[in-house]
Amino acid sequence: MRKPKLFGRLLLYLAIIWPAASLALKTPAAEPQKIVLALYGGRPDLPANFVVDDIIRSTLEKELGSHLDFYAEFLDAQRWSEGETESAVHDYLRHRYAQKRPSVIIAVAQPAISFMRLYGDELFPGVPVVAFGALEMLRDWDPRRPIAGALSKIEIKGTLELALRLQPRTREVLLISGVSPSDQWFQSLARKQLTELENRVKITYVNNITLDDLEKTVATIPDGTVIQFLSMAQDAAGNNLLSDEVVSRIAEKARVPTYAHGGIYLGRGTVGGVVTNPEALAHETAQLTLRVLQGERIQGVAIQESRSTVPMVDWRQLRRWGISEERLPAGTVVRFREPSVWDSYKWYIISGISLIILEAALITALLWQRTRRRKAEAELAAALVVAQESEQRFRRVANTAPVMIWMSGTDKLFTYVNQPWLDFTNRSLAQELGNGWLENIHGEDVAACFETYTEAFDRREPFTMQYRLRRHDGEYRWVLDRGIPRFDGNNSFAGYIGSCVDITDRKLAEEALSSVSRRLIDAQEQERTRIARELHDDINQRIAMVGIELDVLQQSLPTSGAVVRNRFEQLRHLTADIGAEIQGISHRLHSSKLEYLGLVAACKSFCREAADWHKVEVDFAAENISPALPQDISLCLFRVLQESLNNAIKHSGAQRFEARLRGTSDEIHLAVRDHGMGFDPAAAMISRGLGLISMRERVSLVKGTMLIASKLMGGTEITVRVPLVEKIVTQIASGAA
Amino acid sequence: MGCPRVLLADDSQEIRERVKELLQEDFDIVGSVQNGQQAIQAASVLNADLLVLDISMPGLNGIQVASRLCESGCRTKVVFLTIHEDRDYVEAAFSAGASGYVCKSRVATDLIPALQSVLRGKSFISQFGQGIDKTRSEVSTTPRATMNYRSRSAASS
Repeated sequence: MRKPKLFGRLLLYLAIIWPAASLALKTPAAEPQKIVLALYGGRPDLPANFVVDDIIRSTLEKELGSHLDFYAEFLDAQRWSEGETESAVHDYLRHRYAQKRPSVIIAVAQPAISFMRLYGDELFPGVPVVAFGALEMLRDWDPRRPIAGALSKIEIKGTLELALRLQPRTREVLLISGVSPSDQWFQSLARKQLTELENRVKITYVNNITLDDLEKTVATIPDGTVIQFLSMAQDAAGNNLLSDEVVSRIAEKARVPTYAHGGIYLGRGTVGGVVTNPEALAHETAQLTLRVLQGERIQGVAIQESRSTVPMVDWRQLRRWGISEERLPAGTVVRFREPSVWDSYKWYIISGISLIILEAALITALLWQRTRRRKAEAELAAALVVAQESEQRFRRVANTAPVMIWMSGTDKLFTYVNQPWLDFTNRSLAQELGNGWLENIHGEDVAACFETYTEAFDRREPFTMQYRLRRHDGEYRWVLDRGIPRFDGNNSFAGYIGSCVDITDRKLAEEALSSVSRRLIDAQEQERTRIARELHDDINQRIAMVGIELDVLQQSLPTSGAVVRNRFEQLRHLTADIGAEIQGISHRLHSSKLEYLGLVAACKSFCREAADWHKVEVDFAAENISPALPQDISLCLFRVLQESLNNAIKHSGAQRFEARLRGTSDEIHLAVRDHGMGFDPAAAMISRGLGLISMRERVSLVKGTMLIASKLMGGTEITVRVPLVEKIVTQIASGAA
Repeated sequence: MGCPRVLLADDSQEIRERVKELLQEDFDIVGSVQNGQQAIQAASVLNADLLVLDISMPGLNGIQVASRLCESGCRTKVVFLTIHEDRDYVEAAFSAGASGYVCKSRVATDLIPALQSVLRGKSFISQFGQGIDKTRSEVSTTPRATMNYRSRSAASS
């Protein structure tokens, strides 16, 4: 049982390991790592080395990525006299890189180049070398050994020219150097380069001196002199020195500015010089290294002159010595510039100013806003005062007005009633508001009243209505209520306002008057009828009898009595004439035709008689008139026709008149019109006496309406409408009973 | 065949009496009533040939009586005897179904000829014009009434 379990596990491991192993096997075949060794002549903490190392390393990393295997070694050669540590370093490197053969070696600065010249072949045979530094550093290089490099020139002359440019009043320059072989080499280089300038300035070489003496010397040198430092690895006392530290001490003590051609001295107290820009040179070196790594073969000494030498000054020293920046040649790199307040705090200042501007704008806006608001508030307050005054004035007027006033909102609900209203009903304002006002209206009127109000309200139309309103003493009083829509300042609908007056007394007077009118008319008609009947039924019958008797007598007379016969004939005619006259009077008093022949015959007859009598044309037509009209309606319409036609003939000046009777299912219409001069109906009501008034009264008695339409020189039309249905129904009902 | 049966209807006792005297020689006066309602009842009950009818009567007037008799299909022929010397009345009378129209002022001369004409199937209208009605020109009536009026007028003039 154990064997199969073990076998299964093995299979599982194999399944997991196999893909990983195959992946691991493939990796070396892809791209081998490039080992790059950078050999620095100086210390690792030298700022220039730090910068150079960073640039070269990052440039190579960018291109090669994980295929770069970068190493840096620092010979720190300056602290040791030449040859002193070289064998130790040689052993160190040999052991260290026995298993790691570099693809390329970058030799940075003079000591590293010298080291490679001495031990390169032995330690790293066939490994290409890229040099970093100055052209003069390859002076001893065996031309058969391949080396590449972008090397700069040591600008001792350029540095002095910069000094003379910045300080044109310079009369003398002190060139400082030590006693070591490299110090001497720098001095000899200076002598070569400065030959041309000896005419312009006095050149004094200071070399065989101790550092202490040098410090004392520079502290006392007169104006018009500048110091140019070359190199001092060892002073006259045999002290090994670090040149950059020497520069620091000289520059600190010197009464005059110090210049130097090396980039490492910048920041140590020198004004500056024409120096190698270590960043630019590092970029050039890195590019060269990449080319070598990519397989470019180096043939002999493949050196190109670097373009990395630039005038470079220390801004602080310019300030210290009062040297104007305007004198700097174009392209001068100014280092250590202390940022100005503006530079240091530019963004703070910008932010601050922006903030201030913003705040100022905000404050201005707020102030403006406040001013505007105050103005608006003041205007509003003024408007409110005006509105309040207006409101108070309105209420004062409303409360002293001899009418009841109400107001409602857009929702039809009452929002206000005046004091007279409250006095009338003896109720509180709260009770009357909303729909409370309806509570006091007579039960028989409230529905019609509310309907009139809401219908007019929905159409935004004025309305007039009458209803009974309960007074404080419980008595219902008739009020006439007129309402109109009201609009606010923006011309938008705001509800209704209305006023009511107590018209009970007027209404009673009207009713009384109407009753009197009716009784007068009735009495008149009755009297006319009575007289007419007396005349017709009694007198006329008797006259008729007389006529008959005469006729009979005449018939019975002997034919011979011609005289008597003629006399009888005359008497008979006379009697007939009297009878006709009496009948005429009777007819005018009370139309028997209306009674016996109906409305149409009576009207037609009257029109004919009037036309004959006045010699005018009267066009009468009747249509759809029932022969069984109620007597009061017939009489009313006949009398109105009589009166209006008589008036028209008398006053209009017209020669032609129309009279029309027309029946509908529920009304009878009578129209009398002329094309005469017309009149003012309102004035005529007064001036023309009882005619028009009695017409109107008669029409109102049969619940009809009368309309007088008249225009001056435009004719007149009097239209009467009398409702029929109720009357006929009533009559039928009473007839049936 | 006996004398024609005549019914008199007038609210005036005197007129009724006088007419009765006038007609009784030639006609059988079967009844004499004083209002319209009685006239309608009597006309059918008494089976009158002729009804001498006044217009102005209390209750139903003569025009209404004529209309109702005509509507009821009564065979009694109606001759109006009235003081209304007016064409509107003549028109109304013939429209209501009358056969003759005699003015009271011409009763002695026109009534008997009128009744006789009617019995013969013709119509009769008294000639009038001495009274208040002077407006003959504008009269418009039903075609039948107009024709009767014209034929009789033409015959009598």
